[in-house]
Amino acid sequence: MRPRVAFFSFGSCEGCQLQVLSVEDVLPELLSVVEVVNFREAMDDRGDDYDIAFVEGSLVKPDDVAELQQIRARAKILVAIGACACLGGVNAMRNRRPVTELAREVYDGRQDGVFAALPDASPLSSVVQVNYEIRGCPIDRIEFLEAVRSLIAGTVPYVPPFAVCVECTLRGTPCLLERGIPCLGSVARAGCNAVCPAYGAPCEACRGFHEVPNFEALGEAFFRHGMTRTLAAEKLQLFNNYREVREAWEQAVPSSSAT
Amino acid sequence: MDNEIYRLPRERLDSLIERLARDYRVVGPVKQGATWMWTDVRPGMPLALDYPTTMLPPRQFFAPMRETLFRYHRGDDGRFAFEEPAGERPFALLGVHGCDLTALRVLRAFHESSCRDRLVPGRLDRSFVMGLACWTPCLPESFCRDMGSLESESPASLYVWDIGGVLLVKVQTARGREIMRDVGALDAATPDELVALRKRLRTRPEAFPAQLQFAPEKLATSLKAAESDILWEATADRCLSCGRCNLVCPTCTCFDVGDQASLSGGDGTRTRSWTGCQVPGFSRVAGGHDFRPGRAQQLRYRIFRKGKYMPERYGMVGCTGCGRCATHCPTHISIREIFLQVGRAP
Ligand code: SF4
Ligand code: SF4
Repeated sequence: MRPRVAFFSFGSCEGCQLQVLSVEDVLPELLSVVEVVNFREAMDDRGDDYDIAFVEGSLVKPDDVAELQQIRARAKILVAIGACACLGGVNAMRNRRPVTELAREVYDGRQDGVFAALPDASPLSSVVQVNYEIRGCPIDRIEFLEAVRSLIAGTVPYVPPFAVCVECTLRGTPCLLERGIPCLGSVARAGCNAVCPAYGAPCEACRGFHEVPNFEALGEAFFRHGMTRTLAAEKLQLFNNYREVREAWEQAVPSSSAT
Repeated sequence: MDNEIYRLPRERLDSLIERLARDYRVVGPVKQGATWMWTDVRPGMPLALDYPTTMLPPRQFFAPMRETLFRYHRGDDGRFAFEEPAGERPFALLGVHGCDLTALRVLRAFHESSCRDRLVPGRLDRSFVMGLACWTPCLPESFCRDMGSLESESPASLYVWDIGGVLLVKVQTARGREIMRDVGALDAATPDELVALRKRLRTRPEAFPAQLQFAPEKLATSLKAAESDILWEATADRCLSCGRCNLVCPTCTCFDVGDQASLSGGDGTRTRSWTGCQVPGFSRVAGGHDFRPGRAQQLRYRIFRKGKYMPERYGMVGCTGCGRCATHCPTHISIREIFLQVGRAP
């Protein structure tokens, strides 16, 4: 029997679901191995009986928590997809300031239509057990298909344990740091085929960190290439600002000192 | 064939490329943005005879970054059928420096050792290599002279000295002579040209100041003495485990093997791709066990492999002194400096 698959979305741009939809060319093959019972971006029917739940987005509203817990209770396997779900992502940039202050600033004091927000935007793993993660902002369609294949085969989806630099080097991309561009690739987890550096844009570590990130050395690499350690800290806040993620680098790359 | 040194007028390089293109996929150093890369060259493209070294080493043409070993398909009877990829066109590499020629010998030694590989030695046999003499160090980190690779002239069918004006080409194989004959370049170098060449070779070492104070053969013993040195910890503190040093190294040989299966699992491809001892996950085996955990141990291993294990196993030092790893390391961890330090240690 084909495993039943459902997709859910929390605070996010829903770009990861769009990536899933972009697999048109293999859609028939995909649908021959799984049955999709819930996918708001793509269909009207809603089913509550599923084996694998793919969940994008971070938890931002009080209701999100119970909703996610319900998904967890129903799914045999819960897969977090995308930076928001895996790391807290860009939503967690707001975490260092009180919600009321932000609401005032962003909505100019108006309260109509502004929903209640959790004090921290957080990754799924802050509330439930996540079985697997497909990282990236957005996720990569090939990686998604590979994860589906692994899950059907009963194996663990592969996540590269190494740095973006590996992919950069194999593509023949000269290191951006050498041009004084603040790249986080050396601490960031690979899997994207180093697409940003290939086009001259620094890696923002949207997939979080590789297995053994060395943030002191990152600070040193920035410094050696004429950039401040503070800049490294500022860059790290874009995707990796959720409390527990932040703890990994906060001590090593100070965000306030001038070095 | 030692005395077979011929004249190749610079403008005939084009005919050489044209001739080689009949039998080979011709590649040479081409500048791409800020770096030099091995790239396809066609007649009409100027061949750089004064390039500093390329970022990625020539081993990519013999042990590709990622290569398909075979495809598999499960038939209706449940049995697997295997299919090997069709043989590719052999490569002709133009302008390979002494360090990289040395590395090709290391590559062969590794792939012909106890676990003999079929593919890599085969490609080395079928390819055509034109070596190129260097007159100045490629990079501030180059120490090829110390490692004895500056003067390396093989394996190469042809070996070129650019003495300004005409190119002098030494023919080193029958295939090399055949190619030179086909491009009509079998005029022997004149006595004056040979004198000029000898003079340049005599003064060349001045451009390559010695960096190490000891012979590379001494490395193995020096490294043994440095076995428990805090040097490894201190240096590893600066290491990002980014793996660039492995990937740009011309003598790194490690690879990873994996399957890419279709959604239903019945068809797939088995590939191997480059990896290295500084790449996270490299030393993790079945069951999750990591047999060489920790940055310091991993860094130490890389240096030991180049300076000690490879000489012990293959009779060749594993570092050619090309300078790539230090140049491309984001925190500039220099194998030259490490060698220097362990060599100095009492
Ligand atoms: S550009 Fe970024 S990802 Fe690429 S090698 Fe440099 S630090 Fe690593
Ligand atoms: S290139 Fe430098 S920082 Fe990166 S793994 Fe090698 S030694 Fe470490």
